[in-house]
Amino acid sequence: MHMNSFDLENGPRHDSGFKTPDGYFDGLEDQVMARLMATEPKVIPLFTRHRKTIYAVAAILVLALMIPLYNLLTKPSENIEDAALEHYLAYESGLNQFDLLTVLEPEDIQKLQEQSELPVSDEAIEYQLYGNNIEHIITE
Amino acid sequence: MEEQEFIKRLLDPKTQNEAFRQLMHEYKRPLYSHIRSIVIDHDDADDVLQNTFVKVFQFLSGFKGESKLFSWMYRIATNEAITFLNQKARKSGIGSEALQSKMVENLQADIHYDGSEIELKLQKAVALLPEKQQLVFKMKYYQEMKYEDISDVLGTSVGALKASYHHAVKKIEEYVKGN
Repeated sequence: MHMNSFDLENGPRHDSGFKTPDGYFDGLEDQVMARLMATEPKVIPLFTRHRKTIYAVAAILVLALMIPLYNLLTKPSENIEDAALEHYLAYESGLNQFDLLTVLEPEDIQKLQEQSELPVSDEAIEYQLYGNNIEHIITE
Repeated sequence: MEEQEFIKRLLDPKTQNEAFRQLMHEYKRPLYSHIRSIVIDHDDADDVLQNTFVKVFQFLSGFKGESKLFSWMYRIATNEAITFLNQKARKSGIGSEALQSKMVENLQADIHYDGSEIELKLQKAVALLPEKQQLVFKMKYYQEMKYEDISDVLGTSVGALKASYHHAVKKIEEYVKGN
């Protein structure tokens, strides 16, 4: 056939040219059935198949959930607000100055004095004293 | 036998094996031709055909009867063949279209190929088409399937299939005339 007159739809039909070995199709059903018998899946319930995994995951979950509980029970909280602590000591603990003095060491008192030392100049003190009648205190 | 009746036999454990053998007997040749036209090589086609039947068997319980059994099996075969070709191409480090062209080039030396000069040229022309056009052309021309059936297998409208086939025919004719 001349190539220039090639007409797929109106010309002669062409075969694909593919061939199979002799007798290929004869044994096909048996081959497939043999494969199916060999690979037939066994139905195993999900829990049985993954039992070890499920137990392991459960154990890890229980341990993980116990961590915050453990912390809560064993570790005192460090996050008490200063104001709340101050309020407790001042109004609800029944502590007075003498109680505080018995628990404070001399070093602590020294420290407190340093911390509370105000930057007041001598002039300011003189001025303050000058304005007040303090004769009776001095002469007393 | 009505298809519904046959499907019942396929799903019933008592009749399943016998019915499945019957199914394979009926469809092994057309499915083989379809697969072979995609994967080109006989041994590859044999692998893919067997895999297709194994999958058909495994998926039978999920077959809802929404499409015909024949279309459903063709769809599985098409997917299997294209997946196989893509994997083979990946292993070779080239694209699937390049692989197909290369395999068609080697057909002359294939002991399971005895096409004439013009038939070989036709194969070479088809291998140059885009994947979808190749599929449509092979199913329509070589398998002589109806557009309605191809539409059921590929999930493409009949109109689009006709257009695709028309484009494919034109390109193939041009190739054959020009070479």
